[in-house]
Amino acid sequence: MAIPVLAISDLHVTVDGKEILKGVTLTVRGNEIHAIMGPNGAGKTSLAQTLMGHPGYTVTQGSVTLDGVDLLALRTHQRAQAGLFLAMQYPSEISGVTTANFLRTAINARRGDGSAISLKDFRDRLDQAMDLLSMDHKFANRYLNEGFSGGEKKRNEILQMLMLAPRIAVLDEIDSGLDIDAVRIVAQGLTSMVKDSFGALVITHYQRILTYLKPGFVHIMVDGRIVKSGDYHLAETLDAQGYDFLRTQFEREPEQAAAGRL
Amino acid sequence: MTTSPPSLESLQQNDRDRVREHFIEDPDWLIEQRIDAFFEYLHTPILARKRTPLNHRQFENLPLFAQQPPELGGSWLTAEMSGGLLALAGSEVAALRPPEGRTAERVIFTDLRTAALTHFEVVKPYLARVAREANSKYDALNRAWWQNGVFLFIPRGVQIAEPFTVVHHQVASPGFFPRSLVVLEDDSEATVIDLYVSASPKSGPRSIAAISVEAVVGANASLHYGSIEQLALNTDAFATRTADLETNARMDWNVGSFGSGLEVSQQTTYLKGTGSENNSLTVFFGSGSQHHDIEVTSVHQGAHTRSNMIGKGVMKSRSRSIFTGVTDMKHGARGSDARQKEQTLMLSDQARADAIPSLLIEENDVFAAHSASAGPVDANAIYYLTSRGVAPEEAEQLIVEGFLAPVIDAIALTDVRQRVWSAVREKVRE
Repeated sequence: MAIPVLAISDLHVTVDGKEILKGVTLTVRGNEIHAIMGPNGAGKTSLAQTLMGHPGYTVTQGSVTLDGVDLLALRTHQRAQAGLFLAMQYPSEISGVTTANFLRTAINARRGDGSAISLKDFRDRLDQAMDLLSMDHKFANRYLNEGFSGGEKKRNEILQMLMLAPRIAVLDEIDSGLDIDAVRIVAQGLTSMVKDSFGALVITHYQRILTYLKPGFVHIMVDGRIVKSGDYHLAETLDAQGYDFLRTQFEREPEQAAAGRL
Repeated sequence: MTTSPPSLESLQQNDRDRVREHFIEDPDWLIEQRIDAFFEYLHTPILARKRTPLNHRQFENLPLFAQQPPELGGSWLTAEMSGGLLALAGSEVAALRPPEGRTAERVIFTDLRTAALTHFEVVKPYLARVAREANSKYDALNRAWWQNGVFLFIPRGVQIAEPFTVVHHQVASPGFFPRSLVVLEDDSEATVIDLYVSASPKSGPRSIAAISVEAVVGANASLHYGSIEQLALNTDAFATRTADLETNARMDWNVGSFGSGLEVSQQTTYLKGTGSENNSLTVFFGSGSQHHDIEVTSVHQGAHTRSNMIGKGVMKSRSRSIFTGVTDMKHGARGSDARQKEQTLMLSDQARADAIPSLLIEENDVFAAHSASAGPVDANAIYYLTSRGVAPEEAEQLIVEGFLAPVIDAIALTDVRQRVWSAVREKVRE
């Protein structure tokens, strides 16, 4: 299979009539990890949710394609079937649906040909993935995210990613609320997937997880735009100097800056 | 049976002979009971359900019985069932299989008409005894006109793990009056499952069903009871279920309401004996323009009695539900504990659901609690599931099944659990 390509071009997005993304252009390919960093309200989560098709975000301009397919024309589940995955910042709790059952349903839906994964194959893969993430196997039979701690929810997102084997994954603050061991485990889970057939876009506030991931591309987002891109050293600079160094570089007129913050 | 079938109107003229004619094999005591019940029916006011106006419902011109005896057999009998099995097609016994190896233990499991003739010494003292306490117009109607039903008698000390399953099959007859009488003597235990099904669920003549279930649970006895109603949409169903619990008796109700255009039910459990316990679960699922008005009552008469009543419903399209839970703490129920929980999941803006918990407390030293909630499917939850590649319709099905799973999976009766699940899935995919 060809190397996956997620191409975002001049993407403008509004929420409740207010422009949140003001022209984002970014390409993520297989075997690449991209990180997006930036202060609160920069539009990082909006970008992630727009890519997945959250109904609250309206695209007013620009395009998004995955392997040449117009993602914006697809519904959320079709985008997932096309190979996109979003590890969410705040995963929903689904009462009465076990993680294992849901994953089987999702894997079968992803197959798209009406066939079903055999129970044995599924169990084997699930056990393997849970071991990789140091998860208690009992989690598979608990209701999806219900009563999970913040860290358990994040691991469960990575578990789903491992099981669904997407082509491009977007991970929204997968490291927030995790202790240092959990960050390492989650990073290992992600790194294990990176190959020609898989690329990732990691959204984060902190440099910490990037020290494990060593992303080849780091982008800084401020006020709905990517204002600076570089390699892993950009993250280190940011960590050392804070976002202030950006403000001096990219300070915009005060009322514009205020309007961009939400 | 050569005369034309009676209608309620024709019988209002006090035609006792015609009652006799129609139940020609019945013993005199039963005929008298039927006639008394019929007058009770006529003189009991129409059930006052605030949100379910019943005055305009006209049953009086419906002929009560089919002219032709119903066809027997059919695919509904092929289900694999363990334990005792009784299948009734209208008034006729289509199949009767006692549980294996239990005949020596004085267990009686047979159709109610046969029981009234051959075991009248056991049937007569119990028939209508508990039900009459509920003062239900529709139970009176059933008592007057029941064509058949089931009688289960478990003698003292006998415990039977395998279920007794009864299929009450509504044949093409405008009147359907199945009756169940279950008597557990002290220290006994049994499981009974009543299934109510129609020959043609989607069509068929307009009909009325008056379903009655009465149970007597002796001291230290346990009755695990399951009921699934899947009658045709052209049916107006009135269900009256009553149980008397003696000292340390335990009753588990697992009731599923899925069928009928209109269903009005009244379930009353009398916790008479000290330490008796009532666990009631009702699962209802409305679709189309179905209307379910369900009332579940625990009457705490004995000291240290416990009740736990759960109502859980899913409402689609323009369906309507009213779930009323009544905790009635009588004088003398000291040290008793009663809990109610009602939850409804709304799948449509046009559906309506009311949950009405009601507490009547005459005794000081009691604990009573209730909670009620109704709400739509969480849009974020749907989005989350679809983001994994599951289509929105399937995501909604998962959420609905997940909503019901904690209570359905807790049903101890494997048969009932599986049947409730398949009934739910049928409704979800409707």
